[in-house]
Amino acid sequence: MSLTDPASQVPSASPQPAPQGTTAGRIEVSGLTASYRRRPAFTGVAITMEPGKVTALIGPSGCGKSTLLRCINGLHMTVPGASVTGTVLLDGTDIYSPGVDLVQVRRHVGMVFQRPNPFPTMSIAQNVAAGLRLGPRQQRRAARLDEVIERSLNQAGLWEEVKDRLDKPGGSLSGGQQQRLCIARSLAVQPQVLLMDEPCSALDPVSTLVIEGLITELKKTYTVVIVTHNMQQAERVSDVTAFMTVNGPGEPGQLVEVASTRELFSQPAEKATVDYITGKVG
Amino acid sequence: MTAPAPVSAAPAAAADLRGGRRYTDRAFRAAMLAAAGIVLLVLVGTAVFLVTSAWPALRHYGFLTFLGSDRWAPSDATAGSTHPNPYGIVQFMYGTGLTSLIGMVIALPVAVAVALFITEVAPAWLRRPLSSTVDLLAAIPSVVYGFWGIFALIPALHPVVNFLTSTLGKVPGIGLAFAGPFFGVSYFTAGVVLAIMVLPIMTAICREVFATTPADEKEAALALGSTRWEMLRMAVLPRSRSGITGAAILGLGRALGETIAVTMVIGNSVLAITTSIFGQGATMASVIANEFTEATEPFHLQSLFVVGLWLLIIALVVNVAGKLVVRRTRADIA
Amino acid sequence: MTAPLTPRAPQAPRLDGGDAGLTRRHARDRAMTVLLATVMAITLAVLAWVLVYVAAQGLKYLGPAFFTQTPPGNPAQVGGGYANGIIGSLIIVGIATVISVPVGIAAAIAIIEYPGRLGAATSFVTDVLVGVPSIVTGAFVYALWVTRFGYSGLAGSIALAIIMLPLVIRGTAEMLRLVPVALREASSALGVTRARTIVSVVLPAARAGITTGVMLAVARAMGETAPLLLTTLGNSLFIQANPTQRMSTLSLQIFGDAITGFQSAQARAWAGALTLILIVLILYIAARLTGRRLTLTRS
Repeated sequence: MSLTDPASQVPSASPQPAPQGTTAGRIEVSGLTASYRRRPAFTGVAITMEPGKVTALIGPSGCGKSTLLRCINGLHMTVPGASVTGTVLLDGTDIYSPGVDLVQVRRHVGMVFQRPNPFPTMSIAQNVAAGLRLGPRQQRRAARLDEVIERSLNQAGLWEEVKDRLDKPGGSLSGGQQQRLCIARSLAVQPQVLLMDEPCSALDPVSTLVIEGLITELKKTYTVVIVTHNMQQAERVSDVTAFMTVNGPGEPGQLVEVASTRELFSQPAEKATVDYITGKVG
Repeated sequence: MTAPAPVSAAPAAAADLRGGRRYTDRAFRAAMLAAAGIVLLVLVGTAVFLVTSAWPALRHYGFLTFLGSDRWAPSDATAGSTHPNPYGIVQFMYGTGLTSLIGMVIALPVAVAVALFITEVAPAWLRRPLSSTVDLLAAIPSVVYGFWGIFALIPALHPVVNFLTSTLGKVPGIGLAFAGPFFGVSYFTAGVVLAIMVLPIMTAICREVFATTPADEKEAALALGSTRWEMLRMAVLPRSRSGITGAAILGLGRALGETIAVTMVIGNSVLAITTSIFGQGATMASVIANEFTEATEPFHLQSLFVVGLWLLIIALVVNVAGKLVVRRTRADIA
Repeated sequence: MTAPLTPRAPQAPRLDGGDAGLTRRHARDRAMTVLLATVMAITLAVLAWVLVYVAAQGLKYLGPAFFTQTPPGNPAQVGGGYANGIIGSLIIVGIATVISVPVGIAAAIAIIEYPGRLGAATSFVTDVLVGVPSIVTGAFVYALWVTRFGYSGLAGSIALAIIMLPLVIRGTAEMLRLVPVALREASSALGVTRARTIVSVVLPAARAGITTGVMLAVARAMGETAPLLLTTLGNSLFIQANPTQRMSTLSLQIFGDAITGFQSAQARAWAGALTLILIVLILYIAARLTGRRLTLTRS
């Protein structure tokens, strides 16, 4: 998997298929501080997100969990005036090192957003294939597009519901379906990591359960990181939970504790975690 | 929005007071509504007076004969004969349509590019200054554009047009539209001036359309691993199509009504349609401006009112259509 | 529930053709950025071209004589100025402002403060009026007024007032809309009449924006030529301050002299054009600086 700026490297061979249980899609964050125009959103975060696992980021509003998520695919840097210090390693390569192209990073790290946002002028099929149409060699891709669309929609658990109306507009689906469409869209480019920023907060409870079931399946193939303000969801869905908090208004956020989900919710080590989980704070 | 009842004082006093207040309120309201009525009267009056002034010519020659000829020859008119109609207006409609079309075709891509640059590429602090500067183009009076067009633009256009007439003008078929000779004043020159004049309004509409693209969708495109230009093509431009169309129509509508700048650079040849865009012609607005005060022939002035009437109808239809498209876009966005 | 998912497939080769594709994509992105910036620069350059050209030509002739003298009887003659046109412009636009501003503000009040069918119709008609070509308005005023009372500065003022009216209405209406409802309700709760509330509370709150709208309308009126050709006709020879007579305006004089073949006349016209641009730009920029921004190009 080559991330480096094409201008400075020799062309590499196609990446080998990664057998299960390898480190493909392993995220290691260390000493990360993210700022908007010099005002830090969070400081000194260190955490590892393992493939085959779902890592949940929980904490009160303003603690920086969404910002942390956006640092993993470099989306944070698209905001003018934004900066980071520290490292984010994707399978050993720091995505913020000078030779690395963030555009390429985002092929390997996909993202699903809080509100379902299919492209309104595109059909369902076009939405799923949107990421695949970037760049040249469109002819070669066209032959495989249908396969990829079907596979992605299957992975998102949406194929059966839409296979007969792939040319209908993306916006004609229900909220839960739209979010699964967005998941399919992210999966179509075959990332190793899937970031999800409160993916169910705009959905009804039934759709939420559907997507949570989906996440449990997806973690077999992808490294999943999910930001959620719903603690029960974190308990249901994740293997590892990280708790972040902020000490006061305007203060930068901190990572307080990371542990396996069972441990964090039954025997948290930090008082701040206890306070948040028991609802005293938050 | 009616005013809530005033906080009641002693009941008896309140009744007296309320009586007096209501009278002032009613008079004031009547005055405001009367002003609104004046606005309505202005539009209605414009239409009515145009029709009544054009009526003698319309009745004498018949409605349709004006549209049946491209020959405008007031000197042929006599008080008695009704046929053929010496006041054919087709060439003016052609001139108006052609110059406005050229203006819109040149200005639209520029407007889209400038609006994209301002909203998506330029740093945030530059946005307002750039927008205001582009808007300045709209402040320059028409007569100044015409004057500049004659002495600055035309000399600069000569090499360009000479190139086009010697290349495109030689192609069989479409060559007729691009044939020389080019004497400076022409449909094309007027079109270029119009392009500059309608650019600000088209840019402003495009700017608004681009700026209201949801950040969500732009981020979704970026999250798929697209470059900025790919993101614009994926998330911004496709959903802006109807807004851009609205901008084009409104730009066209603004161009249709331009008079003085066009008159100064189009050559004012009223006799017939010239096939080449580099030839001279006239527009509905320009013929009115040129001939109105010297219209002494029979039915000359009334026929100019016929031209004015058609200009009003076309301008209103295009502007209302453009507004509907833009408003529908805004509603979609909201 | 979710459909059965395919089991984890081996990693397929990347479909974007590899790194060469990425280079090309970045190159295209850079090229588009350059293209957009170039078009922006060309647009700014055209604006600069117009302003600089007019300034260069106009400064050759601009001088105190230009503002104090009238044109020579024979256009081919050198010398003279546009004193009559400048005075005429000020008078005609002044009268047009006096006509259109009260009516415009009142109509805007009717639209915003007394919503109903009349208000909605007026709002729609205002938008429609903006699209009426100014020459057509001139023809209307000719038929309405000039046929009865002859060419005059007053007829020109009426035509300009009609052109200014929708701009004043729109500018005022936008400002009135922004005044918070709470302000109106507080005033009413104190027992103030509706009329008083509007005049003493709402209008002053909107004052800055209304001024901006009026200044933009005045700038537009100063630049108009076409409707004046049909209503006031122009008076090239002497200063005429009586609006019931034919008057000249700056724009008419520029137009008249520009299309002659005489160098001397054109020289005067350039000075006139520079003066006109300066007046309009000063009004325009001042309008932008005072109060909230209203765009001239909003439709």
